[in-house]
Amino acid sequence: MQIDFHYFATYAAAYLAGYKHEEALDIAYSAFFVDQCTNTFLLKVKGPKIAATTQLQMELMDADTDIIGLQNITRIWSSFHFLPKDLYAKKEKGTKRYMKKYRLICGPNGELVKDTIELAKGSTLQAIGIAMHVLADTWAHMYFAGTPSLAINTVNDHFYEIMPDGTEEKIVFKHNPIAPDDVINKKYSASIYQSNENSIMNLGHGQAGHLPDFSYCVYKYLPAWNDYREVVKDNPSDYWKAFCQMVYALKYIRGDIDTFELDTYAYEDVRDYKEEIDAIFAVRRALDSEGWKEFDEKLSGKEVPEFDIGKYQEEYMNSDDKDNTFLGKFFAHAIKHKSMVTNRIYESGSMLAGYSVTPDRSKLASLMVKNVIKGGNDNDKNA
Amino acid sequence: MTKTRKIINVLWGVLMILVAIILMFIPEEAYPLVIIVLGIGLAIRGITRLINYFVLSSRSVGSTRLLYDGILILDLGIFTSALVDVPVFYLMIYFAGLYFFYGVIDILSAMDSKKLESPHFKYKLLQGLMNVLIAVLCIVFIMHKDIVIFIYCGGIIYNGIVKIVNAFRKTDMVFEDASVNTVDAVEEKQQ
Repeated sequence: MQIDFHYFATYAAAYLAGYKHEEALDIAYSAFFVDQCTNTFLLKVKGPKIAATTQLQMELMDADTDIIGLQNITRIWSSFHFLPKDLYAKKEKGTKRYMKKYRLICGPNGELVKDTIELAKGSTLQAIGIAMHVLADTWAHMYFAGTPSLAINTVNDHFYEIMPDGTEEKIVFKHNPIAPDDVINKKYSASIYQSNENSIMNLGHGQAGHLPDFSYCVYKYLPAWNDYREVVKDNPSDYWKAFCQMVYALKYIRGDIDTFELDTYAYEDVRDYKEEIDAIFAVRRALDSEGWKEFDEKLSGKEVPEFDIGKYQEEYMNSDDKDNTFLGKFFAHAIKHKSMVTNRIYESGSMLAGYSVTPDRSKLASLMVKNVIKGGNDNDKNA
Repeated sequence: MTKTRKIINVLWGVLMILVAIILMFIPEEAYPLVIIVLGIGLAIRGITRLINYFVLSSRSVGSTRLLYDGILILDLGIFTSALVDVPVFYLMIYFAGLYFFYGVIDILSAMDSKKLESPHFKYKLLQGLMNVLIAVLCIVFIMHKDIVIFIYCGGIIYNGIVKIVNAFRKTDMVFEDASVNTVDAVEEKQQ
């Protein structure tokens, strides 16, 4: 998903769930900031590198695809953009190596979604924003995995857009990474085919271009892993469910609902606005920011400002108490969330996201780390 | 990365650097060796594709293309290794293309970093310009065997150094429910 949903739609969901305007803005800001918190940004503000929640295209091109590099890529993308649906999924035929990648396929209403929401409950507004981003992306990015894998993420030329009148039009992707998609004339671009299994061109939904992120788009194709069975991806319907599930999750986090159940949606709370929201989804355009902004401002009666990546930078860079700044709180929960997802992947028997230390061992590990750092600091003092 | 793997990587890196330095001093003998190594590299790439096809992708959509790619690249590798002499012209074109591609990637990456006001864009830009310069040198000295060896060995030395440096990179260990202070402390140390 893009800024239209992660920022503006999240604002609307937070407001409808009962958050005040300022709180909804903070949640929405954090939700979209997940798409901005790159290693490059962290270097600039001198933030912790481990808090990276995404990678720029150029960072990816530059990234090592040795084991460590691949684990780093998988940790980021599986945690924040392609949350795995079922880490213990079974398939009739598949080698051990294949099944580890198969189990990283993203989808909504997996156990990890529940864990994500539970982790954000009782925490900061920034944590809630991160959780909303992750939840929303499970709907948009379903059927793809957050690890570079030809075997899971590739598609072929059987790719059709289903028009509102029911006709199907074949999509032929161009491979120009710079030119934006021309959605009116149905000219879409996608990553070039790369037969290297671990190429970053095979990360996520690159082979399907930006289609998963266009809310108007309904299309069908053959996912690599589905044994030549077709899937139909109905974005307007999926985005509607994502929105309603966000409202439900936000109500739970606020304390208005006792338990968070999967496959449950706040349809009743959003019913009065369905027509307006459907109208936003129906417009054939790459971004719905305008439509959502209008909706937001009508909903709350207050101005919803444009997203500004520099809004909280000075505060963080000049503060003596960075942990309590806006960005500090965001980084803290990003690390916590990434830890949680990595641990779940590791516990399922997969090393694709790297090692993870479980709670009973983490105290010992953190003591060892502190001693190492103390030893290093003492050496520096003595030098 | 396990300790054993780190040791292997360091030894491998040192070996690469030593071999590259030796080859630089014997360009005439080194040239056919370079051709054979490039051929073997292509063959290994082809075999890897084929292994991935059988282990991962045989039932995946688009797998046939992977199979054909693997066979083609393997054939190309075997063919290259079997040639008595490859005109230096072709090798220089290959290197020029490779370095130009990576140079452009580095420059675009630097521009992205600059847009985000990161101070590290200068290093990236320099790296990109160096790669483009090497590509230009490949074209300028397109018929010179000695320069081919120099460029190829330079690449091996660079990769050897990267291998050694990576062996000492801290493996990310991610703690569940660890205190943020601990993670921050680790990051502080790494920075």
